[in-house]
Amino acid sequence: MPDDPRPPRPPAGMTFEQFTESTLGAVFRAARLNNVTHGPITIGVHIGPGGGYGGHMVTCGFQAVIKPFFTDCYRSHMLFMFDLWDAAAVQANWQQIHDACQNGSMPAAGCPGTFNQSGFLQAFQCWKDQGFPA
Amino acid sequence: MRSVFSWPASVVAAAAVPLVIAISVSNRGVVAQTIPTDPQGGCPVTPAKFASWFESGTPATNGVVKPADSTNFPDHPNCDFYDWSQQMFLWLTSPAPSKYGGGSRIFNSPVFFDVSPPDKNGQRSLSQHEPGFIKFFNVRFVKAGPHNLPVIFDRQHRMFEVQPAKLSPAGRPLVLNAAGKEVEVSAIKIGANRKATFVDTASKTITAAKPVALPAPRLEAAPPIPARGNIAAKAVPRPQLKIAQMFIIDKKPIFVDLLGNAIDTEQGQAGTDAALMSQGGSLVYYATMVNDVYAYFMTGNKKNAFNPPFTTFPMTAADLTKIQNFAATKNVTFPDGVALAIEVKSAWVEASTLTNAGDYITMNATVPSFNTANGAQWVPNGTRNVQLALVSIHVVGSTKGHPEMIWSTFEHFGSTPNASYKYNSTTGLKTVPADAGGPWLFSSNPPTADFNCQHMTVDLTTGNINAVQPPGNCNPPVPGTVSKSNTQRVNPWGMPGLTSASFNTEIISHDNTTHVPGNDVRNKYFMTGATWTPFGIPPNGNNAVGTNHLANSALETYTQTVNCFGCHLGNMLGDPGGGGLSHIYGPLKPLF
Repeated sequence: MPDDPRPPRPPAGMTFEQFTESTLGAVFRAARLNNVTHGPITIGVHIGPGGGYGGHMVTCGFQAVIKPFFTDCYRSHMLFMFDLWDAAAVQANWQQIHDACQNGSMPAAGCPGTFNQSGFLQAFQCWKDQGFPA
Repeated sequence: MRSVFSWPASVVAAAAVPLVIAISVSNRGVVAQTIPTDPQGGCPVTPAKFASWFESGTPATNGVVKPADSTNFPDHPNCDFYDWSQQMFLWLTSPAPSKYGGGSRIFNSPVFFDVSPPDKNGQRSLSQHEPGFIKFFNVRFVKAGPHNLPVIFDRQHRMFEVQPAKLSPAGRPLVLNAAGKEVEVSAIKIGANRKATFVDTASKTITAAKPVALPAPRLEAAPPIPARGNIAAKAVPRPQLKIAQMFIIDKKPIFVDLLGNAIDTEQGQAGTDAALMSQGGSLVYYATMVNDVYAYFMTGNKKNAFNPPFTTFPMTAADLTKIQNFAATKNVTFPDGVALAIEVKSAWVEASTLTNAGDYITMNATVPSFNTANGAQWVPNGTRNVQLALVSIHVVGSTKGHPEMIWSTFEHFGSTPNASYKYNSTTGLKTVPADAGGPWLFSSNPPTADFNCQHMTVDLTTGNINAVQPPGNCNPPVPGTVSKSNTQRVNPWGMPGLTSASFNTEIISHDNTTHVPGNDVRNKYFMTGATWTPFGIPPNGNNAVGTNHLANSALETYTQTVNCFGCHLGNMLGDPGGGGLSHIYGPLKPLF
């Protein structure tokens, strides 16, 4: 059977946890019905808490996840180009910001604090992948 | 490579994959706890990966495990986090090679530093660990709020941080009357509406009485709360600190909010700073330690040795280089710097009270001694040297991408019975009933009373251990003596047991595939979970992931409903008063 390109979603009224478990249950029942004897069966590559971030429904929203990476000082340094606290401006300059942070040219030296480059790049990619949620 | 954010791959029935994870735990010398041996999926560790953790490249009894390379942490939820946690536990508890300078275990070597209790100014100090001997042990009490205040929970599981009521020179609690004047309280009556009525020393009701507001800890600016599920992300400030005041009337604590409403505490909660006793009659003691990287990082940062100063714990190889360079100015080198900053909090009981002390990691220590003549109040009368046995340990550390640190916890197999939980087995979803069999270190068998009822609290000003007065918010009533009680692990695998089968399966499968061969004492302990925040964003009390209902039954016995990040949040290093992410960073004095 070809893969369904749509991401699986829990039916209304069912938590994702229940959905995952019911899906597993269905697979196991099908295996038994079809006398699959060469088990046990491994489901996919990661049947653990599926969905979102390791089973947690994390939305990579600008306000909640992205903006906290941009300190006052980083914002001030960049205001001559665009406002790092403006989601639309950051979205419009996503690639440049991403590349600059990846190659270490951003954030520029001089601001206090420790920049979590690895965490930021993951979060920034997630924000893009999720369609730039607010 | 696993995708971090993709939904689970389309369900692919990859038949003919051999079951490699159902390993019996019988070789762990289980005292009481058992772990299912037939988890399906989850986070099993491959034999090759497990072997790579060992310095020799081969798992072996008493084999030395390397620390996880935190500077190259792969950061794929959730299994990588459990790998990091388990490897760090096995490293910390490995026999210490000579490069550590002695000690039976790596966390028992001079590479680690003992953290003192707060002094009269609230400051802590570090003392290089003396192999085989922990200097600073104290009776375990719970004091874990975000602002380093004791906490209580009401019946809606809301957390309150507790301040003592202001006292008069005569030692009686004070409230403000309607005129705003301070009046001594002799009694408190709780009405049906939970409103507290305060009575003065002339037995007259104090009208419109309110607690005397005391200076509240400074609140940190709150990061926004991430969206979850269908709830949109919003820049919502962190909920305001909920303060309660504790009035001791006739030796019984009564908790009142600042509007004068009595707080109906969760069952079992009778006071703050609860102590715990094992079934064998040992008080539970605890110790906090940090590694060399943490000690020199903290010292360098407080000595302005780094430019720019760190505002988070170290994450990268470049960060480590700065700390190494600073330590080198004192001719100190780190044998395992890639561990980055590590904080360890551990709980112990007296080995002499155990029938199977050989099943525990042990260490010598100086602990408080008590005059126990009065069963309702033990009074400290000095110290004594004893051998202690490790029952629980928190392993906390920073990694690449995670300045908030990964918070993991481990318990001894014999410590505490589990509440019921579900997991995914090779034959479908299974429900494991709550544990009944024993013997347990922290529960009678069968239990003779409700679980998790406080029997005694520590008076932090005197060191006295005071029995909770009956009934003590428990059924049946507590005995009113300093005594053993029944403890249950509420969330066996760090998540609500009956609705988190997949998360439970991850931890179970991980534990099942990380056995050290043979009769290695490290096998007597198991991981119950780990928690962190996505992308290392600052914890706000609502954004923890992994097993985000994680608590240790011996270290957080009476606060098991709050996650680590419910208390460890705010300043990404730590506040001087002991709040913030690390409750010890702020109060710690530099090494020199």
